[in-house]
Amino acid sequence: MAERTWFEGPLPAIATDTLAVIVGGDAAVAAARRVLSTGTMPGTPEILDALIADGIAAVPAFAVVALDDDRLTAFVRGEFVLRFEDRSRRVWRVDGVGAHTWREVEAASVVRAWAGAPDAEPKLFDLGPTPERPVRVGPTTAAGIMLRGRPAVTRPSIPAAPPAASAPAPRPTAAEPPDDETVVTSSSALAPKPAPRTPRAPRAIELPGGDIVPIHGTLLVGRGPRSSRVEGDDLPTLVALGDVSRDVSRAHVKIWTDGTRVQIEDLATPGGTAVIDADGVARLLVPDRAVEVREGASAELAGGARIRFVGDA
Amino acid sequence: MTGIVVMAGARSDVGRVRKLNEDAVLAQYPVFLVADGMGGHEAGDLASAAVVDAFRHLVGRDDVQPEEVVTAVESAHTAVSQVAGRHARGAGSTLAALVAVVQNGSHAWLVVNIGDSRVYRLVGSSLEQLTVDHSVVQELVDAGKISRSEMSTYPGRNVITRAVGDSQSPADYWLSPIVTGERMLLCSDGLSNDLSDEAVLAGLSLGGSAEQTAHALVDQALARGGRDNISAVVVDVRSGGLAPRADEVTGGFATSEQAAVQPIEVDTITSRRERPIRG
Repeated sequence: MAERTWFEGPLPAIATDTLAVIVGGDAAVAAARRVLSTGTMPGTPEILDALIADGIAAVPAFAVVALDDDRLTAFVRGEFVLRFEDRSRRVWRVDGVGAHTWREVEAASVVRAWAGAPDAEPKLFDLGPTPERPVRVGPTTAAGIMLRGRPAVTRPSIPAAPPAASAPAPRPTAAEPPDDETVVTSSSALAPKPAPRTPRAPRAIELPGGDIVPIHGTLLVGRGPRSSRVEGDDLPTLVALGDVSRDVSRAHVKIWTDGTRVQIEDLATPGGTAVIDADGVARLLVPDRAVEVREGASAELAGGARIRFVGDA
Repeated sequence: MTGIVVMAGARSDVGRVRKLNEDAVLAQYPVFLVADGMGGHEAGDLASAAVVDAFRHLVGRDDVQPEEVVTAVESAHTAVSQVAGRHARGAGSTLAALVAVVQNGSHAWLVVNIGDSRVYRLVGSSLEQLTVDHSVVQELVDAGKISRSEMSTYPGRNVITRAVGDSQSPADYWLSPIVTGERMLLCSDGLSNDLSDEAVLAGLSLGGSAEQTAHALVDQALARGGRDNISAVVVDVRSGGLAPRADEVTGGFATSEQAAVQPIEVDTITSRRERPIRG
């Protein structure tokens, strides 16, 4: 378990024994209340569900972060920033700007991490005068949170320097990163994820209205999809969502099966699509790039329309 | 599943030059099609009739599966190649069809094309051509060598690259939502060669029933030349389709590959041409 400290600030924040949540924006207090009402020990899926309960468009900026030994899990939305340092002393920075839903980070070998509002972002990890206080489980207000993992190897204890008023104390080098620390601003180049659990391939999709459409061949899903030119043995099935937000494109996603796997692709829509897997981990789809989906996952189209991937129809 | 209510009208005319009308049309829910036959000594006539016959068994049904349309196209191929076998100069036909099919409990248009007959769609004030011609001039347009407006006058405009009856000619298919308020036009090249996109848009927009509109469009083509057989089928979706709002474009198609529909640039400058006075 990491050692955690809050950075002082005005934003609603909540800590469980493992997770820390900070919420920003106009609807921050309401969203934080929803998180609190999920119970005493909510997991990441419950917290994310509570944050997005009003639909993606109404979700405030947030950071949800946990550091378990050296494994970091974090979700940042909007302007919120995540910085962390790995064992190789590289510092990574990820924020939620531009993400339809949020950016998700999973990384191993993390020594310490900071998450919070951009105006409280520490330039380096050693902060000097910034007020910090230990995290206690429960609600509070804060501007950010610092998490420090346990070192993998116990450092040899440094003998206490003799008190000397005239000579400056030698500073422990391990706690002082060089000023030219490498900052990598990428979310794709992060440490590889652990192998995900493997639920079965879905057999059908459930539309926002509850209708079930079996996945045979190719489905084109949107407000009023039409196919491109196809051959007679390659006809897709059109799935019109009817009365949904205009943020949903006429043809928004393509879902198809090769008999064993089911894949989804965002058709380069202006609004975008996020896929949330059964564990609540959300990914924004890259346009025109297929992603495999499994039972229990759902796809959130721009505007909040949700398609669930279910088992037998 | 809501019932689709459509009103359709059709007209096929021999034109002013030809002796024989080798076009054939079918306009009975859920099948709307135009076939433009080719070949001498009545072979073209028989070929286009064979195409219509291959689809006639779908008439009156409201549960046609897309695969049944694909099968009907195969039958048309077989029937026309049999006609061709009986005629020294061979025979062939175009096929432009619009069939209301049922997929997963919902209706959709299945658009089929072989050759250079066309399916257009008018929604609001915008005209789209749903089909892409299989013709030499279309290939020239695709290659950027001639403009769309030159297609109807370019030498060799009547040379098609795919035909019903030629086993090497697969059909192109498109699935398209049925939208309440949309108006579809199927026509042979006799109409699209004599009428510009602008004239087609005007003719479809002027109002009147589907039947009146089909007649008026053929009349206009006759007045502008009538060099070929001229056929038009007009289909109005009165109710039961998607709400037109669901079909509005927000961001448009982001990639041209996804863009099933090529919007047609229509010149909206008021025409100074005078109408021919007919006695």
